Amino acid sequence: MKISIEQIETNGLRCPNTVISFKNKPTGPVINLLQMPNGTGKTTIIELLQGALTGDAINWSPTKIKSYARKTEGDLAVEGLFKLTISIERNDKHIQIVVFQIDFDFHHGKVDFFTTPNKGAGMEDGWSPPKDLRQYITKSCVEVFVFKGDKVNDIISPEKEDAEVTIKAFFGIDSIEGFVGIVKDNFRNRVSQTTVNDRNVKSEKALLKRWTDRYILLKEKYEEFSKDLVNFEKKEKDLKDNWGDVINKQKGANDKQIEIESNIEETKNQLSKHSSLVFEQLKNPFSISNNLISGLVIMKDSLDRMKLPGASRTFFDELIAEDNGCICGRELDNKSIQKIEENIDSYLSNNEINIINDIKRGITEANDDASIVDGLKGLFDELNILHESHEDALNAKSVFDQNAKRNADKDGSDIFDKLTEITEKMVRARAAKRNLSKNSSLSDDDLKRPEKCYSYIIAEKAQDKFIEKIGGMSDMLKDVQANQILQKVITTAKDKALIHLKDHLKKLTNQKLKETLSDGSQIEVLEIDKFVQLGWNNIKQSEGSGAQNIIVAYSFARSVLEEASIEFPLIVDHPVAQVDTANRESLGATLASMMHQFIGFLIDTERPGFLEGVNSGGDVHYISLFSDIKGNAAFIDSIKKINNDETYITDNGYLCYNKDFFIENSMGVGNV
Amino acid sequence: MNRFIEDELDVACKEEGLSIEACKAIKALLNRKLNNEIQSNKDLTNDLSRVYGLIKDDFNED
Repeated sequence: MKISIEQIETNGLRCPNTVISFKNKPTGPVINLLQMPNGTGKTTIIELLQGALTGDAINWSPTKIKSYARKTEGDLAVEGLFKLTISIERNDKHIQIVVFQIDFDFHHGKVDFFTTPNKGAGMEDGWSPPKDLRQYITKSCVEVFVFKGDKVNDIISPEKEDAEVTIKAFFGIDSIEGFVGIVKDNFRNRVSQTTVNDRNVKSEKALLKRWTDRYILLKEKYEEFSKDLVNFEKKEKDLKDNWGDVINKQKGANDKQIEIESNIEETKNQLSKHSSLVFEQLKNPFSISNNLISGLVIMKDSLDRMKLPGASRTFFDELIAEDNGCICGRELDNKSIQKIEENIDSYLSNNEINIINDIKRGITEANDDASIVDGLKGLFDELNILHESHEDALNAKSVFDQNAKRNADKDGSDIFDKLTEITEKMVRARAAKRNLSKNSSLSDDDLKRPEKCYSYIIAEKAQDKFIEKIGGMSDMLKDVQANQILQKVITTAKDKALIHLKDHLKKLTNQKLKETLSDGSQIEVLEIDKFVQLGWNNIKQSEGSGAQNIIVAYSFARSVLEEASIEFPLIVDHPVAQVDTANRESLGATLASMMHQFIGFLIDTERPGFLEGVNSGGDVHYISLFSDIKGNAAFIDSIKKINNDETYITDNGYLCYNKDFFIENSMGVGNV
Repeated sequence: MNRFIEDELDVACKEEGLSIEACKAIKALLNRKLNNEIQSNKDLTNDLSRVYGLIKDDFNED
């Protein structure tokens, strides 16, 4: 199934009224580059595209809805329209056209959502795309192919877990996880609705009810903190960017900050590597204490003093079994054999003697390696030093920030205070989330006191225990078992499938990296777990170059789509902002071969190198969109000089598909 | 449903001693969930009752 963006129509929104057509293989160029001056509504278009595709727009708040209204001389538009047309090409080559339409009522802060599921068919109320497409256009899935340039870092960042989130969303693992919870709830309801007239059952059901209430409360709190954390992270990112701007204005501060941050990173890496070494050494019990070794040496001395009877038990076993008489020539009568058998167990066999000798040898070797305890002590000393170095680096950052704050103006200083405040809030929210999702066992006493429980995971476990208990008391034992088996089957299958998927996607991503990266590029995916771990020759590295990171992100996204047997366009805001000019050209040149449709929202600073690259790689569909305002007078003058067939003038803006116009007129200032 | 999930469902059902029929019913249930075809709690309860029934049949056969 191949999905392409065909058209976007806007009216009454924070961007010019227009109809933008996009191209895709095989009908035209693969690469669509769209440029818009700052403030023309680029973010609006991307957000509306996401909201339309996912159907999320239906749940937008009145404030959010009103924020999309066009302002003309202080007046807000009363209504607006956003229409997204996509095409779906299935394996039989049949093409289905689907239209998502959002009608805005800005006055009341409401939207009406419509879907036209097929060309010529009537509009249906609500979000109703074809069933086979639905699972791939949830919010998390859409973020795989509609993203801002900084999403690239989220995929490879250990703090973000975006790779796992993406995989879980695209292959329905998160949906299945949620479903296990729904199955549990459904069964809990069934059990709690049993009408057994027994005092004990009633009392257990009352307790189950208290646990269920407790679980709901704690889960809500957990989700509240999770939501807060997402908002804090967004705010933190913006504030960090703003704080970066403040620092940029201070002479030499930027270089100093880079130096301090690289020192923090370096000391952190050293600390992490050395901690691994210490843990490895701790696995050897002899390294912990000299007392342990001396105790064992005393034991060995005792063993040495014991006169081990050699291989006597084996000798007597053979003597009786062979029946050749005694070694002295006498015949072994029954009485003698019985006597030997009675005493044989007090002697050691060959094997037992070998084991004792091995133990003695082990103790001798441990004792000879007297440095092993000192070695561990040395490692700990070094760990301390590295820890102090890391602390120093963090302190240096703190001192630097305080100085930068002192040197900043009032606005800059406020930004720093807000950043500090948000960081503290994030720490508190993370701690609260950790506590609310702690896992531990439950005693019988704990089970009687739901109100003393502060983790939703434990509350859920308690509910399961009561379900089992009540089920058994009310002739539902077989249903309880069937429910447990169903949950186990689903949970095991989805957990194992996730592991296989991650491994398979790692291989696919690496294949694509090989195809796309130039020879000698020393970067590969070592592992995909919560995030994409990059490295080379089994040595981990936190990131590659800007270009490598982007190619990794694109390759990962393409691998996910390929495994899902679905092709989506890649729609990227600031596609190469983080790539150095030298590498933009090669990235641009390979884009056309990577996918069937690419839509990039470009800013002026991304042009050098990238435009040359995309041009050499194939045809490009150039799109310029700007408002009819005084600030755009130069563009308006320039557009009058070009072919009219490629220019569309609306009541408040201009849309132009002319290549020369695009090349000659640079829009969207990168640092604003 | 992705092939890895489907394969692992087969394995997990086998490990739990479930019949092919019960396994098919579990897959159908998950497919309905993934395609947003379970519209109400009543739908879900009916679907689940069918699956529980098949799993219990497998106990009885044992």
